[in-house]
Amino acid sequence: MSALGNLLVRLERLSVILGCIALFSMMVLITADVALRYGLNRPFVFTRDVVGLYLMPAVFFLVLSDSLRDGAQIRVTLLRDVMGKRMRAVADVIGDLPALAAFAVILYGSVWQGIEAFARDEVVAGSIPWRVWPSFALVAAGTLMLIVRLAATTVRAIAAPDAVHEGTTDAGAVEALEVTR
Amino acid sequence: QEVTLRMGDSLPVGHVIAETATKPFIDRVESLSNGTVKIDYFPAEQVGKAKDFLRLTQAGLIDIGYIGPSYVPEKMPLSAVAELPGASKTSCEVMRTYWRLAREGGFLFEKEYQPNGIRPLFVVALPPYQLILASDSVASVDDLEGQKLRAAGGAQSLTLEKLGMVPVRMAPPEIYDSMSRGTVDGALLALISVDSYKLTDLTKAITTDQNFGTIAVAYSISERKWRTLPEAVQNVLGEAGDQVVENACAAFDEKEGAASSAMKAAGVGVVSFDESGTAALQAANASIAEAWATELDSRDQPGHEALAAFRTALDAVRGTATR
Amino acid sequence: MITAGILLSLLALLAIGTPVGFAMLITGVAGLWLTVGWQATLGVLETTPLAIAGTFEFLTIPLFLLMAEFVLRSGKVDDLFRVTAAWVGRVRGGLGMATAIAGAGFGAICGTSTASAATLSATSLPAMIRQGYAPSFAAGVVAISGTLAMLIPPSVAMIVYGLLANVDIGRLLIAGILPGLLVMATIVGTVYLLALRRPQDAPSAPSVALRDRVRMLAPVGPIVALFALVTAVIYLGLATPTEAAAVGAFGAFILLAWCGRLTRRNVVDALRRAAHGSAMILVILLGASVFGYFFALTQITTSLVDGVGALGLAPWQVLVIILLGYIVLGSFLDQIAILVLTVPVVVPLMQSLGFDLVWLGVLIIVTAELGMVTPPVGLNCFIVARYAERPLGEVFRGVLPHIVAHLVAIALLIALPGITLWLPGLMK
Ligand code: NA
Ligand code: NA
Repeated sequence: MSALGNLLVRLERLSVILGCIALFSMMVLITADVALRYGLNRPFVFTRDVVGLYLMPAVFFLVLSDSLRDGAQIRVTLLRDVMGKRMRAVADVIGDLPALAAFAVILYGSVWQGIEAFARDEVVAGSIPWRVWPSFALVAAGTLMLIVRLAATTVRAIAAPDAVHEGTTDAGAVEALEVTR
Repeated sequence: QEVTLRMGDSLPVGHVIAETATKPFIDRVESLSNGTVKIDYFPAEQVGKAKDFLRLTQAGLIDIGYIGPSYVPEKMPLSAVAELPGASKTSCEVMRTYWRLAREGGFLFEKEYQPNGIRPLFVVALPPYQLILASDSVASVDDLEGQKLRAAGGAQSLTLEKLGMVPVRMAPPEIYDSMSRGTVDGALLALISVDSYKLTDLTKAITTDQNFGTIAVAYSISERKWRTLPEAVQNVLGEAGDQVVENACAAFDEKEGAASSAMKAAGVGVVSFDESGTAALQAANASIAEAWATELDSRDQPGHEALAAFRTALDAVRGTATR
Repeated sequence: MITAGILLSLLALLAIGTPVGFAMLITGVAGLWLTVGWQATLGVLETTPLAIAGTFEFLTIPLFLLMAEFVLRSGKVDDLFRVTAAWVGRVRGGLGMATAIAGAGFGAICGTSTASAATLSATSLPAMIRQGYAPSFAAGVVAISGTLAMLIPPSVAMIVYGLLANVDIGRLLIAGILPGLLVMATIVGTVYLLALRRPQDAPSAPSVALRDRVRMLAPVGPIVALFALVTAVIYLGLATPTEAAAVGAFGAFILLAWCGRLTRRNVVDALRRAAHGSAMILVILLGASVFGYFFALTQITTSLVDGVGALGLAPWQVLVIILLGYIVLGSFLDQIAILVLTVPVVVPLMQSLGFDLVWLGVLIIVTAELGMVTPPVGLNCFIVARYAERPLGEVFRGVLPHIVAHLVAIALLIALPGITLWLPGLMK
């Protein structure tokens, strides 16, 4: 199903753009806050809340899956360099499947907490009562994309172990998902 | 039979709360139970950040967690009533009042601790916060206008705003650097905390006997864990908790007085509050409490009820103390 | 039993090339599940993601990475290293030495080793490789020079230690200056010796006339101004060190515009690379944090230190054993995690043996710093490998001589406490 693969890549691209916007906004917002505090003694009251609740989780979680596709994850490659392709595929599955399970638990937890925060209309204390639930939504969205990406990689590693590239998960993973359909 | 409980908090080793309340509680529990109840203590964020202890206690990663309304305002908005500025004058007043409300049968126990599945074993509140200023040119309330002060957010920040000051938020480790370099002109802290933040040499002026809010925390056990404990153990924990609340609050107030005297003796100035200054502060505090309660009411939380319950309990505490 | 099994599983996963963050996450979850059960594990996994990503102070990582990306795309880094090459390039290994000096200079701005390593990776590494340096040699210098940021103030590690051990932070920060310069000198000396032994690894640049060298200084002005901006913002108290990261990134953004390179592509690429790098570090910290819960609950550190205390050894023997322990911990744990796990037990023990806690703090941090560059988990090496797009093994190989030299520097700091304690002694 190339539609499914395309959809994931498109979603990742969109969410990376949102993550980048969050990063840029964070830079501008904090700089403006510092300038206003130092120059006019009138800082924004909301900087820390907005950065901690929304912008930081957006920067980290919205690019998570894309960074994995990009092969940005750090690994010890000493043994890996001497492994055959099939061995590598096995090693990838050994690492990725339990990681997928752990992230599935994180997804479950963040969805559940987000729903509770939404239902109870949870807010932080202060002059502006910011909503808490979007933080969990960002974690959930980022983790969900990561899980789908890991699933695609694992399916590929099992279906076509000879085609494994150096990254656990790279652009090829989605095509592999398509191959198996 | 022997029982071992895991207790976690975020306090750095040697923190005044740990020394005055937490460790005495652990010792008390061991001695009252003749060593059959042991507490494994994990301080300094070893098993979680301050914000996480409510969830981690509920989940059972730890049995007793350091749970404060200012860390989880979204889960325990009502408990923040104990941290509102202006209400009380001493650590004992805040701690006894909060303990009445948070312990079994109290207003906050029913409205907030029970619904969150936890039960406080003892509460801690630092002596009411004062202004800690790096400049000795501040002598009266009028000089406070425009001063940038580190505050913990929430009601503390609102008080400063109302008085024409500028609240700045930062993590505790950054206070020292920021104050020494002038990023902020001072901080809101209990006087007993000045030394532990290494601010003694930087402090040039303080307020005394004011209340710019405080921090209230309840070391709590999950209800689920509590029910598994034998009655004898429950009794030991209850007795130790009562004793620690009394002993710790007296110790806090004594140390606060000593810190204040030591600073004055070292030449630290005291900001004087004339009649109009005191009136302005009281008006600010009253309007913050009112706004706090109204905001909660608007979200279907009993804000005004909590405020009334706190004031009633505070009056009762004062009545007992003077008798 | 469980503990040994979990530690072995961690090593096995790392060995077969599982991403480091994943390996720590998986083994941490398994360990927690086996020791405290499913509910408690769920609690940890529910709180940890936002405990890291929602912490305001953590923003230094994306923003310092972003600053480096903007500076890199402004083209001024190339100018900087052309000038450095002109001035010190004629010396064998001159650019390597310049990297160590730049690492110390950048360390005076930046409080975390990883951010410094990332910046140096983005700036001096390409310049050295372009100069014809052996990639492993260049990567090694960058990885070790990054660690200077934790020693030279401002330093997040020092502040954390000061709060954990209840030691005066001002004295601690001042105490880091001379040891920081000593470590810098050690790196410079190591580079000199390495270049002497294998000249082909560190080719010297052609000699440049003095007039030209002076004339080349002009384009470097803006980049020096940017570093000065960040330094001034922190030291003049305009902002907290955390906020300074944002101001620095913004300054670098202006620099990009000033150099006429403010294209959509440049900005988007810089943002994306900084965000990718941050996500990578997030995954490692997420894993390390979950693993840290398990590790704390096992109380390994407590029993270890208690055991040492019971042996009845001479104080200096205990010190050496404990520092060796820090090297071992550093090989697979994050710096801050190490401090958090050990300081509460090590400091009371060492205090009872009569050691100065400021001196001890500097020693612990210098020693734990080694962990940033030792396998299997060496965060600085990971970052350099990622930025240089070189195999990790090559980076670890390049840093090996520096590890040996670093041990000599640590021995000096132990033998001569005055290096550490002289400057703080002048306070008051
Ligand atoms: Na530094
Ligand atoms: Na290491």
